[in-house]
Amino acid sequence: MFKKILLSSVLTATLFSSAHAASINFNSGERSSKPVSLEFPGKVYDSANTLSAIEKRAAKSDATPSEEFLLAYVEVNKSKDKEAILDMWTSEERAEIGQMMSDPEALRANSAFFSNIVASNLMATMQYRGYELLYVSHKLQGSSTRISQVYAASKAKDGKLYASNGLADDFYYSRLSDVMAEYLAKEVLKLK
Amino acid sequence: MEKIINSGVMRVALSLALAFFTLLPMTASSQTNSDQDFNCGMEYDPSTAQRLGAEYRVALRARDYERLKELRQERESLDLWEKNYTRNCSDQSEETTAGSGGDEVDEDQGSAGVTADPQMCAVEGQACDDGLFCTSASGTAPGPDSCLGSSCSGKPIGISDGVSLALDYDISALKDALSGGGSSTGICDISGVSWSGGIKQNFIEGCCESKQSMVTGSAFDGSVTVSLSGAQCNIPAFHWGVAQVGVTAGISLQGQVTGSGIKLDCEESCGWRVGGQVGVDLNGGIYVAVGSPNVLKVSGTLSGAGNVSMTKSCGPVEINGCAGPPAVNGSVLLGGWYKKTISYTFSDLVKCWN
Repeated sequence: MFKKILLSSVLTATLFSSAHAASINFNSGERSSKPVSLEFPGKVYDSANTLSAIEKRAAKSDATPSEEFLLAYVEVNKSKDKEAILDMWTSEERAEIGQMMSDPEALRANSAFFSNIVASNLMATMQYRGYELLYVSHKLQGSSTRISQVYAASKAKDGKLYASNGLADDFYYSRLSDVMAEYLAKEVLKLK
Repeated sequence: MEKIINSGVMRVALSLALAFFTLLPMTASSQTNSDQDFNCGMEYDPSTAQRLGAEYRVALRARDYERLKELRQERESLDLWEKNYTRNCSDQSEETTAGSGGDEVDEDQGSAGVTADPQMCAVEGQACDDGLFCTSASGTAPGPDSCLGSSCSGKPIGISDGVSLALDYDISALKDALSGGGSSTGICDISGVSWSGGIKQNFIEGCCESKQSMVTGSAFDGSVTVSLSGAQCNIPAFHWGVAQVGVTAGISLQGQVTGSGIKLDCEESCGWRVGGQVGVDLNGGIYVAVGSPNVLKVSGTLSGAGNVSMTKSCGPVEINGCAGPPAVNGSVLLGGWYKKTISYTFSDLVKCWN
């Protein structure tokens, strides 16, 4: 399956995804030019991969580390436990995240967002620059539309995944997220 | 050496002198070879030198090189005659003058005429003509120049104050350009811009070489300071991923226009200028106008800069420069405390003047 997406007036990107990888071709739009193809290892899930299903598999120790991270991360953000949330982040970023959480309006908005989630689907995972990217679709209470979120995590020396903003300034990550978001928006329509 | 001129005895009239100079080449030659034949009855007449000087000036301005050559030969003949006269007749003249009670004049004043050819300066301080109208010995008004060493030299005639009146120079072209910049984009209200100070046009008099006369003109002086701060701009919201991002923006202007130099009613080179530059600075912040539920916060700054310059001299007024485009740099904070960088440029919001 593939999807052609207009990124800008001069670049088009074509997303190819399979069960084990996703590749993006960047085209200049000129016939003579060759596309730049970027391929990333990862996994595209079917629509049945809900957090509830993951939770059941996790209980049987049958969930992947990425899935376990996502379960824990959504859960702690529903709580207003700042320390628990900070523990989910890399040790280098906890001070900055703590600073963000000191804004009461942002803290309230974050808690409200996660509390309103009634269903979540892990749509895809992708490995990029040593980070694990988790593409998730959330269904919110009282809303007919779904929200797409990307959760980036990096593996620490202890082997666990920790949330990270290390890609916030990465241009290609930003473009990648846009392309994936477009693709997932279509896929999400298949979800109930 | 002293020269004796006698104003009272045997002064040759101008008409006779002219007739004499037509014969000078031949006469001078014969005089050089036989001093004893030199006619001491014909005395040196300063008006002849003056006449030669005046004609030389006219020929020089007219670039009449044939005439210049003739006049130079006449001058050489006159000088030769003067030299012979001094050598052969001075004793007689002194005797004659002493006997008749004639005036004795020193060397500086003696020749009294204008030395037409700059190369002909034989006497320090002697009046001469350097070929330029706008120079003179005094440097205050047109007139004879003065021999300095062996060459004719004049001081440039300076600028003098005219009537005691000054006008404010009109910089409405810049005012119109700036106000037009605001209204044409409909983005920023710069109606409150402040213009302080003034550029004065002081009336003067100066010398114009090409017109061979004194002319009037203006001396430019002073400056106008342009400033504006706290004015608001209406920049539209933009779409960034999961949020419609609103922008708050203000504009400030700062600059100066100065006037300098002199403008004369003359065709010579342009020596005045009114010009300057106004800096444009745009800054502000961003906020969430419409956001998805997972947008916790946006933060960042808007910035933009540019300048507009004005130059007016002898040509048409020139207004140049560009301001913008403004750009936003910041970040969106998403649910779960994930950040996403915002980098957005309002490419359409560029104002250029040219």
